[in-house]
Amino acid sequence: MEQGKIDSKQAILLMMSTVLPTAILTVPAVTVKFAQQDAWLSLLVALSVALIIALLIVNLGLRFPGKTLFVYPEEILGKIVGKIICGLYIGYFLQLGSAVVREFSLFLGATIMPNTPIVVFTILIIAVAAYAVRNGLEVLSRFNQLFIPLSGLLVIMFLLSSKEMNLTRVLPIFDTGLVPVLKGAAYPLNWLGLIVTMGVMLPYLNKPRRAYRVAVIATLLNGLFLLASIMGALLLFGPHLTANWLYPTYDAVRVICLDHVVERFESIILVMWLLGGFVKLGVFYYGAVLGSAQWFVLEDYRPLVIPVGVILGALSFLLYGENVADLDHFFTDAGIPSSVLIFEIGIPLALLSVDLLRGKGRRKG
Amino acid sequence: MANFTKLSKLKPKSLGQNQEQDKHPAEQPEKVGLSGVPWKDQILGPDLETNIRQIKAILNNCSDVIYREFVLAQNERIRLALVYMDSMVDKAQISEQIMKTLSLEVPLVVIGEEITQAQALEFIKQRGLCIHQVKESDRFRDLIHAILSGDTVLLVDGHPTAIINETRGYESRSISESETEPTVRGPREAFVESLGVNISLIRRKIKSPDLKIETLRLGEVSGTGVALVYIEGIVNESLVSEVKSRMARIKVDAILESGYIEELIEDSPWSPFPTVNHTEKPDRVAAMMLEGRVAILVDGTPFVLSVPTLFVESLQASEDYYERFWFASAIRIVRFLAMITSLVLPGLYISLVSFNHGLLPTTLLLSIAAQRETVPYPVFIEVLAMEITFEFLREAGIRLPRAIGQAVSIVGALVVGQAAVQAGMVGAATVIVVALTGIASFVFAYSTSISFRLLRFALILLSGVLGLVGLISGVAVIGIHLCTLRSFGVPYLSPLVPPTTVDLKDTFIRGPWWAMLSRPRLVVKEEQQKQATELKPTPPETRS
Amino acid sequence: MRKRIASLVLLVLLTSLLPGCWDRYDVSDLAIVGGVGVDRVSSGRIRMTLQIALPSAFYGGQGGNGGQSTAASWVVSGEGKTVADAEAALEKVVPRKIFWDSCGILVVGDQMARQGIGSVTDFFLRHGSTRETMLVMITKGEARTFLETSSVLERMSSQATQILDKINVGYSIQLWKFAEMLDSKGIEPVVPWVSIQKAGVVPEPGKGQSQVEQPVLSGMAVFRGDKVIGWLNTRETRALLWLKGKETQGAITVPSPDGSGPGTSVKIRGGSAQIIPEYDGRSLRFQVNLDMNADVMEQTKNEAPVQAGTIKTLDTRTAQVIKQRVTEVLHKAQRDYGVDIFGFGQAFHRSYKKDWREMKDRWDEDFTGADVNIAVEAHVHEIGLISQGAGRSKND
Repeated sequence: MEQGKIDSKQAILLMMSTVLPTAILTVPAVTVKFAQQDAWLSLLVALSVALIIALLIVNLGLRFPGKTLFVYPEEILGKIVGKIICGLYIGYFLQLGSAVVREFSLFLGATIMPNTPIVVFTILIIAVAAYAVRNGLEVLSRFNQLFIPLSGLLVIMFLLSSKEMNLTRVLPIFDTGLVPVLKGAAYPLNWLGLIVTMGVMLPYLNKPRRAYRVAVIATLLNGLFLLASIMGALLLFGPHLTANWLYPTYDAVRVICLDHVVERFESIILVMWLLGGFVKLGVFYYGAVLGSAQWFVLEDYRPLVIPVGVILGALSFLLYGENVADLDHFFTDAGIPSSVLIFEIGIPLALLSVDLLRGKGRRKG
Repeated sequence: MANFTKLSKLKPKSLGQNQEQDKHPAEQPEKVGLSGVPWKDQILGPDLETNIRQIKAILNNCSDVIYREFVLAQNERIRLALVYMDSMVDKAQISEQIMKTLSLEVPLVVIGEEITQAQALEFIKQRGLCIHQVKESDRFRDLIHAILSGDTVLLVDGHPTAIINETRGYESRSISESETEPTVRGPREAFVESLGVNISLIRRKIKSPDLKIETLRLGEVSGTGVALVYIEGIVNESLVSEVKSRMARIKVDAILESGYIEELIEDSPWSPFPTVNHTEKPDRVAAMMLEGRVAILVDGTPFVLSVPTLFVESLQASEDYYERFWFASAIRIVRFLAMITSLVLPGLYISLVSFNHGLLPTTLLLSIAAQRETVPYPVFIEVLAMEITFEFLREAGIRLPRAIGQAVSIVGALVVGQAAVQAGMVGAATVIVVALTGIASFVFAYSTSISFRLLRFALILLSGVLGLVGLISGVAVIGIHLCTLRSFGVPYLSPLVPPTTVDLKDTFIRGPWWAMLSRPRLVVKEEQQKQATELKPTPPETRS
Repeated sequence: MRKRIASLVLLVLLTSLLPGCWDRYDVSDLAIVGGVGVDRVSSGRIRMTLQIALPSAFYGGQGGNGGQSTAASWVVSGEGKTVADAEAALEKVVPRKIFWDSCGILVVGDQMARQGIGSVTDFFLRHGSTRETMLVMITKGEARTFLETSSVLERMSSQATQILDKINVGYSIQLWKFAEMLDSKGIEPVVPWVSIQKAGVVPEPGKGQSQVEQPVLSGMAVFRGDKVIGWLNTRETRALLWLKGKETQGAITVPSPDGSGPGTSVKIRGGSAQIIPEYDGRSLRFQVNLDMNADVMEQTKNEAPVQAGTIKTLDTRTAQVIKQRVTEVLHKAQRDYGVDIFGFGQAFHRSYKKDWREMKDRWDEDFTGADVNIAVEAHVHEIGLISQGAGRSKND
């Protein structure tokens, strides 16, 4: 099925691209909406939960060496239930992928090229990702590795905008109280919890023993970048303005102007966001394709690339309504709690506990 | 000839060629010798006349073949014959060192002894010939091949064996300075069209018994000599056998240039990127082999192939290793910038001018707007037209005789550069962009720059439709494609992706010689130290 | 398979090519806006004025005649019930696609500003094509008149204003900063106040002179919410900036160390300001500590030279002047306008977050009644390249 192997570094970077490209733009606004200037506390809460998810999924994966998240449910729960769970995860990846497609199409269509039909962007994004997915995990992760040094520019931009930053904007700490902080944690947790994709990558690591390290480091780095984006937006704009803007990170880059020599940096964000988006979509797309192939017990997943791409495109139009507000609504109200509870924590935890119980039983017997 | 039936199974790269070749066996009837056996498999007979007749039958209508019959001075009953190609041999050598010694001088050496016919062949070989290299053969295949390569065949009556004398002496170009890879510092000599000379050029660089040269003959009609050259102990053995097996697959009628072989042994035949590199500089080939690569020399061309090829090679020039490393590193970064420029600049320009205006500073935007007030076509068409014009000029510059070439460049510069801008048909900014792109494409390796030229047009189209978004998508596709490429099993983008930290010393920068301790890991497939550590020179502690 | 993928990509490309290029606007199809003005006209309608750059005036090459004779801008207005209406009206007049991204300034006439500019900033922030870094300014009179003025050194008044603003650090309020101040509790916005003044002449050989009108910074407009309620002149503005701890330029004259002459000019380089709130549940007090740095700019010739000994005196005198100026503007804000333009409220929020919850909605009243104690320390650093006033030795 998948011949390629990826090393630990590639896996970490891939997990970063799985989480960050969209998260870094949307997380600050939503989190700050709930927790005001204490958004960074929310993020820390989310991060600690995400670390538990990471450990959970790696522990589960290591119990079944060489098998993906789509295969071992069968071994734990039997054929029928296992297939159902496998099907659910395929659906989960399809949903995640189509959300990325929709988000990108809408952003490009709404803000950058308002007169171009959105379907053009949808086809474009899926076509590029399909090309990467068709060539397998190895190529996807190398492509990711090739362009990820560009994100160093983000760090530079962060430093450039630090002139305008003001530490007093996050004071006083813990102004809103505990409940808003916890509420604010749900949204970043959804993104950080995407570490469950490790369940798909794990069998293809060239050193599976390092999987714990990979998952933990990836989660910590994701947390760090999200923290930086939240802090950057807060220190620059303060809580009110951050919550008001749809993409505070994008705006943060827009306001950088150093004596009119260095300005109009947003193109860089656009470039990185698009490239990262291709990878991000590629990961979910790959998950859906590989999962389907394993569900149908196929020899090769490549014939499924185009059909799954078509499904992704169709879902992106069906699921998320008309505009950015609808998409936001999907994320903040409908999608988040269920996907976090079911796919990122619920099922893995259930699988692990069943396996533990049975394993113990078996060993005793 | 039976091999031709397999031709259709060759990789599709040379589909057109194949059809042509398939006709050959049918149109050219086998030259059947007297005995009815195909001549290639025939063996010499003892009778001189029959043998000569046979050769004449094979080489009929070849007016440049010379048959010279004479007798041995020692014993006039022993008849001899020389067969050679008129224009391919060193005639002085034949007359002085074969004819003269055999027909005149031999008696002086051995007086009073009658040489019998049975002894003749051995006697001639041992004492009669003053030729450096002689071989014996009893196959017509070998004889004909020897004659066609400029050797002289000596037939002795009564012996079913012929002596092949090495007498090649045809005109070839002398070694001159490289025209495609000129250098400021470093050896200037370049390969020539002769395989023998080229091998000698390499041998002169690497005087080691480990330098292995394996020759083979490719092309059913052309019979071109091809040499695989590598350094045993450095090269990865599996690479050599892989190259050999890929070369063995080649069944074509002719190899006229190493480009034929390049296309027939590539890993990704559809890719626009060259996964087999070529050079005409012996020092570069030597360096490649010292990094564990295999060089493929082809008779008749100065361009030598080297595999496996990495993408970063297009940023490297042999000169980098001779200049000081600071400068060499800076130049490499410049080349990299030029590479990116030549790929994306026109697309970026189109995106900025007709889609994403907001990314241009206002003053620049106004200036471009002013230039474009009179331009009739959208910038996309304008850039495309100018790029095509530039390709015209470039191609004209290469194809035209030197003397006219200059005139073309003057006309090109005047017409395109000035008149078009002054007439308001083309914006000055467009000319600047196209010219800059053109210049940038000359900065790095030519073979890669051709690929980039093609891809640039694709990016121009994409940018013309979707602006920056199209451009980035195009670049992403190119990036993914580069990630999929391999050259003889080695990832094309290594050591960048997957990154091999140690090998990064010789990519965008060129590390100092004392720091580059090992050979490229992915090429030689293992860790190989190439020089001593602690080579970094230090000044003496005492100062006078 | 590879071929099939390739043909798919090609197909996608072709299909996207077929309907043409949707968002393609050549630069020559754009009306490049340099500045925008918003006024409220007598009928209660809103008028938007655009200063559109004429590209040929900006072209330095052989083709364009880059002389001064070419007009640099076209100022055009449109009216409507709302800001968006006015823009729609403009789109019917301007024969090209209006390009907002280059728009550097937003000028609001005082008629409009007094009745609230929330709708204006909302329009431009929501717009998406304008930049958040656009400078916001208020002018007494009409924004249109302001934009109709041309500038001498720069080609357009909008450009000139941007540069003025850049030189006078501390003044500039970008749109996003204005929005932030508008959104935040505990600080009220101030926005630069610009006007047109006669400034010098351009001598033209044979024709005499032509009077030049030039945009100038006249001070700051003080807001309550999104409405302008008052003005600060440049003198007060500078004190405001000191109090906010912002870098600023400009000289003040302080009595010279020996008390003679008209005084020594001292350039304030800026410094730091610290606002410490003290609240015991009833009375609200603020301790403001200013630490300013200054350089000597000019001495009149009768003064004693600045020396190591006298520089301390100069320090205290400078501090006194600064304190007096700051007190002036503080009183103006507290007594005349009754708004907290300094951010005392934010400082209070940081220190007393529980009390803030009940006070934030009546902050203006609390602020007006607050007791503010100002402590200034000044340090004169550079005395310039000469130690004595020129010509002083002759007098001795």
